[in-house]
This record gives sequence, C-alpha cells and structure tokens, in this order.
Amino acid sequence: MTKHTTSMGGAMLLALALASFPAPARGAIPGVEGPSFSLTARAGFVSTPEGGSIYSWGYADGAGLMQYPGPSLLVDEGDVVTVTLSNELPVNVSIVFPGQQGVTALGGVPGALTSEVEPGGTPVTYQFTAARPGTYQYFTGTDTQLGVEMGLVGALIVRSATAGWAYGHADGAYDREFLVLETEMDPIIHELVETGRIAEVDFTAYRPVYWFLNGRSAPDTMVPAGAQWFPHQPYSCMPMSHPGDRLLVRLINAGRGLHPFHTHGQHMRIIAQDGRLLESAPGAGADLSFLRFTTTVAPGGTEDAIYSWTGDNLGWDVYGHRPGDPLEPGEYALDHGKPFPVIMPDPKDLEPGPYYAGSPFLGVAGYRPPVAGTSPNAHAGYVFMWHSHKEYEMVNNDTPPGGMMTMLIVEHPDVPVMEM
Amino acid sequence: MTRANNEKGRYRMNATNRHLGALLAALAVVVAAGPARAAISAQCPADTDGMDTDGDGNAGNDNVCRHLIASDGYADMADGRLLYVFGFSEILSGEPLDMAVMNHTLSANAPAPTMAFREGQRVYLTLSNAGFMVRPDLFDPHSVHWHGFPNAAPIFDGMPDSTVTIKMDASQPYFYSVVDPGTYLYHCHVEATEHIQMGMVGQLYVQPKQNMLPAGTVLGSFTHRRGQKYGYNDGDGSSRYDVEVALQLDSFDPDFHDASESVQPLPFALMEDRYFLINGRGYPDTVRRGPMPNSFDGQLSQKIDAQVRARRGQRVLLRLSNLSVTEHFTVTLQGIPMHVVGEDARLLRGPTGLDLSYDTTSVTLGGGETADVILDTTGVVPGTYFLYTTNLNFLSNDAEDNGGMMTEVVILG
Amino acid sequence: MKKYHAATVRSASLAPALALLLGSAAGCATGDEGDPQTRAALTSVFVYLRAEAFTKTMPDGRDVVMWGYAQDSAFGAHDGVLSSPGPVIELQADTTRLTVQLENNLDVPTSLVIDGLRQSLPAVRHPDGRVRSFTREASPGNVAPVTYVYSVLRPGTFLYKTGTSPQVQVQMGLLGAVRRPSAAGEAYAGRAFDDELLLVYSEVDPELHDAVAGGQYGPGLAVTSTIKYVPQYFLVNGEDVMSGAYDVDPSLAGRRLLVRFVNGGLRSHVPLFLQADVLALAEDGFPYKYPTKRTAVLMPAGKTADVLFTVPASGAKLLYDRMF
Repeated sequence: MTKHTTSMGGAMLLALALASFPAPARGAIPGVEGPSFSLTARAGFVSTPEGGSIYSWGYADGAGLMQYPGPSLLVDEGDVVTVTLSNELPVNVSIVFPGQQGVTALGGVPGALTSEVEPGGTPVTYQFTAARPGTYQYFTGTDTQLGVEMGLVGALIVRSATAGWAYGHADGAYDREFLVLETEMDPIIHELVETGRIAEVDFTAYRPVYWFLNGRSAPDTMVPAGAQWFPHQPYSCMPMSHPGDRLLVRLINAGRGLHPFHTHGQHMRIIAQDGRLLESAPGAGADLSFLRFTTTVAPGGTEDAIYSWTGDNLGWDVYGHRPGDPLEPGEYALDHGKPFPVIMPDPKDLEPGPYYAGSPFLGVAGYRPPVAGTSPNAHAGYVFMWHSHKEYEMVNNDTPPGGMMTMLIVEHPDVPVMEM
Repeated sequence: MTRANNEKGRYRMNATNRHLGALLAALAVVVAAGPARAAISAQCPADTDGMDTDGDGNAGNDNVCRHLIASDGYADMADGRLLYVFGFSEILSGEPLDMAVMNHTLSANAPAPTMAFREGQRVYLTLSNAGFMVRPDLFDPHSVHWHGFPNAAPIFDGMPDSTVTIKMDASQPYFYSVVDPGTYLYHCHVEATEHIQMGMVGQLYVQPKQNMLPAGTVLGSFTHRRGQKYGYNDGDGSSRYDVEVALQLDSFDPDFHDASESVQPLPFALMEDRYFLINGRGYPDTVRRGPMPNSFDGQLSQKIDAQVRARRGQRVLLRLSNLSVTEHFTVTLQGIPMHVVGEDARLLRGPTGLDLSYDTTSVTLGGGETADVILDTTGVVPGTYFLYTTNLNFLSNDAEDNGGMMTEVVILG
Repeated sequence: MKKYHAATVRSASLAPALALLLGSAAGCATGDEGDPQTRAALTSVFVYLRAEAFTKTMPDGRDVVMWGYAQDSAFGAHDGVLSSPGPVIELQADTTRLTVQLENNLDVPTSLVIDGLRQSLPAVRHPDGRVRSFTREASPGNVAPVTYVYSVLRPGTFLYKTGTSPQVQVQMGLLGAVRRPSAAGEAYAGRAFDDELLLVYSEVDPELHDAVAGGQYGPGLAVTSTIKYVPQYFLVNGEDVMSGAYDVDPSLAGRRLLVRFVNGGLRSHVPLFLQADVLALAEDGFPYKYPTKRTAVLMPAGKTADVLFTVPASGAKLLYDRMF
C-alpha cells in the first residue's frame, strides 16, 4: 500500500486556488493561433510530480521556451498553414504532419521523410492547406524513434468552418472541447542524450516509467494551464462539465506505446479516427461511430470522442430531490424524487477520498470525515477519473498514483464550470 | 545446473518460510478474533414494487443481492509456483455474518467470483473488508469498480478519490440499476495499480431482456425460440448463442507478489509480468476443469476454468476481457474465425443502425477493454482447437515453456 | 541514418507469372484427397515448402541462425532459396484448393498452419498432455511429404506459420504470407488496384536464436522459455529496416496502390502514412462492411491488414513503424 491521498489532495487544493481566478470562455483548447507559426526545436526540462526534472527536447513557440508537448497549433479549415522551423538542438530535426496532404518543405536539407533543419541551420518552412477539419498530431520526421521519445511532438487542431462542430456535421457538435495527448518517457535515454552519449542509447532496453497527458503526469495534469512553475509544460488536462454537456475529447497518441484510455462515468462515442469522421458516405454523419469505455489510440493516430454524462437511468435521484422539488435542467425525469437506494455505513467505517464532498448527491455537500485539508471539490461535483487502464502507467517512476491520469468534474447545473 | 534453476530452488526455500509464517499468523488471529470483531452486514431489500423489471414474468424477484468480501490469499501458477494475492471471495446467502471475517480469512479468489446479472435487475452488492492476514501492517480500504457502468455516480463507482471506500471489518453497499447488457468487468480501485496487480479482478456481464421474449416473437427475418439467448438486444438474432463462456485475460509479476508478501518495497517501475493468465490460470491449468485448490492450504482459490466446450453447429459467445496492468493481449483461435458482435458492453451497431460487427482472426484487448465474440461452429470438424495469445512469447509460465495464455476449445460431434 | 527498403511495388497490370506451380499434380497424392488427375485442375495450387535453418548476417555484422522456408520445385528437389519470411504463397482469384507439401530439414518436428482459414487440426501433444503442435507434424528429415490441404479459400492476405511450438519456431523465422485477389487487379469485390505492395513484419531476438540453434533451449538448459524476449532486429520482408520508411514515388501518382501488411512478429507495429491517408479494406482477409480512412494502422501480433489509396501527386511516405 502506498499512502497518496495527502499529496494528491495538496495538488488538488493548489488547482482549486488557481482556478478561482476568472477564466476564459468555456471549452477552448489553449494553443497558438495560426495559420502561420514559427517553431524552434530546443532543449529544456520536464518536471515530474515527485520532483524529477528530465532533460527533453521540444518545439518552442518562436523565441519562447521549449514546450512539452509542442504548441498546439490551432488553425481553421481551409487555412494555408505555414510552419517555419528553426533548430537549436545538436541533431537535425523536422516536422511531419500525418493526415495532411500536399505538404511542401522549403529550405533545409533533404531527409528521409521530409526536409530537415541542421543544428543552427537555415530554417525549413512547411506549408499545406488544412483541407479537412479534425484532430491531428505533428512530430519530428528525423530519427523519429529518438525524437519522439525526447519530446518533439505536438497537436494540430483544424477547426471546422461551423463553430461548435468538430467536423462538418452535427454529429460532431460539442459544448466543450479538451485535448488528451498521451506520451511516455524513459529517463535513462534522456540522461544519455543530456550528457552527450546519444550513441549509447539502446531502444531494445526501452523502459518508460513516466506517463503523460498533455505533457504532465498526474496529479500535475490537474494544475491549471500556464502555471508558472511548469514553464515547459503549459498545458493542463482537466475536463469539466455540466450534466448533459457534450464534451469533445481530442485524443492523440503522440507516444510510442499503447495506452487503453478509460473514462469513468460514461462511455465515449468515437466519432473520428486520424482526423476523419467515421461516416459511411460523405455527409452521412458519424454513422459508423461506436461506443467505448476504454479506447486504445494507435501511436501516431488520433481519435475524437464525444463524452456526455447525463446521470440518466440510475434508479435514484442523483440530486437528492424530494418528489415535489422542481427538476434540474436536463434531469432524467423518471428518476426524479426516487430515494437513495441504500443506507450508507457509519462514517467511521469509511475512508473518504479527497474529492468526496460528504454526500452521494450531485451538488450536495454533507458531513465529510476530517482528513488532511479541505476537499478541492468545493461545489460537491461528481468526479470521474480518466486514465490509462494499463495501471502501471498510473505511476510516476516508482511512485503511485500518478502518470497517465486526470479527473473530470461534473458540476451541478447551478455551479459555473471553471476552466482549468 | 543452470542459473534459472538455482534461483528457483532458492525461491522455494524462501517461499516455504514465508508461507509458514503466514499460516502461523493466520492461526494467531483466528484465535484472537471473536465474533464481536466482525461488523459485517448486508442490505438486501425485498422487491415490492409490483413491477417485473427484468422481464422474466415474476414481479417479485428483480432485486438481486450479492456479497463480496476482500481479503488476501494464495493462488498457484501453472508451473507450481505459489503466489500471494489480494482478492474477493463471496459470502453466500445463509452464511453467518458474524463469522464472515473469520471464515473468509485468506480466502481471496483469483479471479473474483463472476457477477452475472440480467437487464432490468436491481443489484444490491455488498462489499466487506476482511483485511490482509499476511499483511497485518496494512489497513487498506477496498472498493468495487463496475468498470463501464453507464452514467455511474461516484458513490457506487468505487474510485477512491471521489467517494468513500470500506475499511477493515466493515461493509459498504453498492447499488446498480442494470440497464445495458454486455460484457463489463470489475476490480478494486483502491491503490489501483497495486490491488489489480495483486489480483482484485473479476468478470461481470449482463444478459439482455431479449432472452425473455415469448417464443415465436419475430425479430426481422429471425424468429425467437424458447430458450434462445443473445449477447445483446440485437433485434435480429445476430448475437444469438448456445454456449456462453467468459474468459478474462490477466497477468502477474511474481516479483511484485513476493515483495508484497514479504513486506518489501513494491517494484512499480520495474513491474514486468511473467505469468499470463486466462481466468487466473496459465495453460495447462486453464483446461483443468472445475475449481482448483491452492497448494498453500487447499482452498479452492482458482475456481474458474477456461475450457470452452460446445457441440458442432452450436454458436459460442466468448465474453473476452483484459485486466492486465502491463500488457495489451492479442488472442486468436486457430482454425475457427471470430465474429465480433460487441465491444465494451455495446452492440457493434452505429447510431443509425448500421451493422458494425466484423469477422476477424484475432482480437486485441488492452486493460479495461472487452469484446463479445461469436464462434459459429457449423461445419467445424469435431476436435480440440486452441485459443492463445499471438504475443507468442507469453506462451510460458515464467521460466516454463508450453504454458501461459492458452486454452482449449473442444468441439464435440 | 534512415534506411530505405528495397521492396518493390508490384504492378497488377504487369502481374508476373507466379513462381508457383499452378495445377501441377506432381504425383503427390495423399490418399484421401481424391483422384490426382481431378485435383490437377487449374484451380488448384501446389506448393512445396522446405523448412530449414540458414544463417543471416545482420546489418551490424552479427550472424544469426534463422529458420526459414524455401520453395522447391518438388519434394526433395532442394532447388529453392531459404528465406524468412518464407516465399509468398500466391493464389489466383479462381484458386479453390491449396496444397502445401512440407519437407522438414530442421532437427525438430515442425508443421504448417494458415491463420484465419477454417481448418481441421489434429493436434500433437507432449507426453504431459500439453499441446506441442496445432496440427500434424513433419518429422525431422521426413522422407515423405506431409501434406496440408486448404479447400476453403477466400480473397485476402494471410499469415502462414509453423503450428509446432509456435512460441519458439515462429520467432525463429517460420512464417510467411499468403495472398489471393478477388479478381485480377482487384483485392476484394469492387476494390481494384493498379499496384501492390506486400510487407511482412517480423522480429529477431538474437540471444534466443543462439540458444535455440545452439541446443541451449529447453528444460534444464540455459534458456527454458520465451519469457525474456528482447528482439533487436526488426525486419520488413526479411530486412532490418523497420526503423525506416518506404518511399512511394511520385511517379505512381494517380495509381491505386494496395498495401498488404502481415505482422509475423510477436509485438504490435503501427505503419503510418504521410502525405496520404488510406482506406482500411480488411483485416485477416475479412473485408470490412464499411471501410474507413486511416493514417496509422495498428497491426497487433499475427494480424494482417489491407489498405488502398490513390497515390497523390507528391507521392507518399510509409513510416514502417510508429511504435519503433
């Protein structure tokens, strides 16, 4: 057994404190607006929750700090996208854009997959038309094995011409969108690279022990985006929702391994793979979409999922209403006023989690046995873990829990949803 | 004599000492624990709503009560190595609850008792915590996570961060109004990496109401006959089966289990599974029919074999799931193609009704993924066929060859 | 440091005469397969495979003993070339029967299965009751061929492999591909192609190869199981190029390219396309009812996949393995 609730709770508190600042409008994925980008490959250090610091490579936004993952490139359908890449690393780098066609590369030196920038060499400008909306990734096309491991990956999001639709069809309509970008790291490789011993890197002994969502390991996934003590990891991964909201989850496997990603609380409807709506014919909508409670995205691939927790059909009233109370917006009427079905044990027999608000009901705080600190779940939301179900990936090196994990908070309809 | 064998010999000595210690500890506690210690209870309300929600024609039997108790115990790997495990066992109806902790000491099942429910049932599941006999230094709470339950509420989801979990010598009720048929799975979610690696996993599936249709009901071009069963409410008989077999893939790292047993730091970063299991057993134990006693105290801790038996012409529903914390597994059935009709407890059908079921030779599942596979044995020559992982290096029980993730499918004439 | 793979794109319109014996009865009646003259119809394909060890020098200079197959002109002819993966078994759209006759020049029993095809499998067991072979075996140095007949064939791409101790023998190299079009220039009904590429993936753990080839594998020996499998060479069509990419030349622009993937390895691999996305037609020779577009193709161990795309003006790149 490993005691973790205290440290986890601490991080949550931190998250809460920061999140109480005014937040931008709902559901935008932070990134860099296009259609023209200037990226620089450079080195930096990735922080891990147990205090580690891992030498890494990444793409920086212009003269900014190296980022892990690289800046999320945000463009609109039909944009002519240009990405100019400079290189401050000791090896050649490049960028490839799976899912994009007609990508041209100007400058640099020829490489196996595309033109490359030599260390300190003249930049390469990649250009393509973002012809189709969707979720994509980019990564280095130069020694991809080492480059991806070192951190040269990022998300490319092509927004649909119709605001609020992921694709050109109402089946991709969403209320809030979130990025979930999976990666992993083997720190031994990073140490060898840091100390100039690239030739000694042996991928047959590859053994990742850190696992990331949007470049952070849990519980850091739940610290707000842009927190200043993560200078190289600006993106959080903390989905928030009201009951019935349609969350667009843009899943990207930017790493090299297979991660079975499980969403507590509800299935995901997988509506697109690799930036293509799952449709039987153009305009048919996502008629080939399917439901998953755990999904494994192919490395190098992407999936778009719609997740919507409604609380329907549980056989009891999740709000704890009495029969005469008014309905909440979108409440499942057939369960309205139905009593909680069991008698909970004496609190002394129960171990409360840091997010437990003291009652079974959504938005209702109750008696919460004293534990270290107060609950970060201040509004008694419903909290659901989203995580890799390859559970040894829910560990930060030798320390559980952590890794490829975050929490969704579904807030009561009366509670404003904060952007984290 | 090789290095591997020397290691094995040394292990056996250590193991004997450890296990002996555990047995002595168990005896000591059994002596010390009186009935007053056990605060085990269960809630099982009668079904009095007058409605027949499960469609079986009986309005008074829709409430289903099950009672699990968490403890530790032992399980044998197919090479004879005894592993310390955590797990669930079941308190059966009529068992004296005041004796339950004592009676279920060191009673962990690997895997846990299978939970098979019917759509329309209301499940009252009680989880009690008997503690760890071999690890009295631990006071771990436990939970049940019904993995994939739609619209779960945290209070019954078992995810410890967002709810309450049950401490030792106490009991917690879970409630599920069972709406969606399909193949799920369950496990303890407390200290998930550790508790799942240690064996707190089980199978869970829900049979559809379509099974309850009156004989002669027409479903499209298909006519339901009495006794026919289906994986889902498919509306066309496409998930019909004659024989249902649930096979759960899993894997164990013996070093992790040994470290736990001997109160050593747990090797999370170095975790590397070396036993590859179907229903908690490696081949050939997978085809050893019926419950299997462990070599520690003879308890039937590995109750579920993995052999599939059907008559030629029958349709077999394989409920496949994976709860490994380290590996995706790909499994194939040599000589008989698979037809996948469901994934993650949902019929493979698009939102407008398009049939997304597919034929394949193998199915790949990561931890926490499930698939429903129909085997059509029409025209299959009677005999024994082999279901095994195509990750062929896992056809071993650690250092022993010809084992691992394999079982046999016997087609009778 | 990227290596380019030497595999050639095969043009369907120029489909070469298959290096297989079509319809040759060659006097190999097995007694239970009917009259040899009847079987000699043009819809029958006979293949003579010989399993045997050979040594392959890897790019780093290390010699590794492989087990592979050669395709001979007749049983005992020994005129074929050993390779791993073994020769592609080419079936025609009208092939209704495949007969493989196996000669075993290894020092252990071996056998042949084709994944994904319905077949009756008389298993062979170890003395302790565990299965040793999924089907009947050819003894070492067999003087008469062991015959495997497949009469339920369908279009598609398939993996053939040893059915004996597959955990040992497949990773030693006893694997290969079978392909059958639905018509000339057509992969599956309505899925025409102009050019075709077949890529067979496999992996080599040289330590395990050394142990097996050196008599150090087995109970009581240095290596007792395949549990410690650490591949160091990652082969596509037998060459250690999986770290690289395949270049689909712009000169093929506008042509429909069928890529058949076969994963004979023990691990998953993910081919990734750049500058194009592809229509996933089928897995294991089973066409999808509703093919969808992909750029990354997850290929678990033992899986086959067929994808089709029209080569864009830029050409395309195929990163052999995004998991590499």
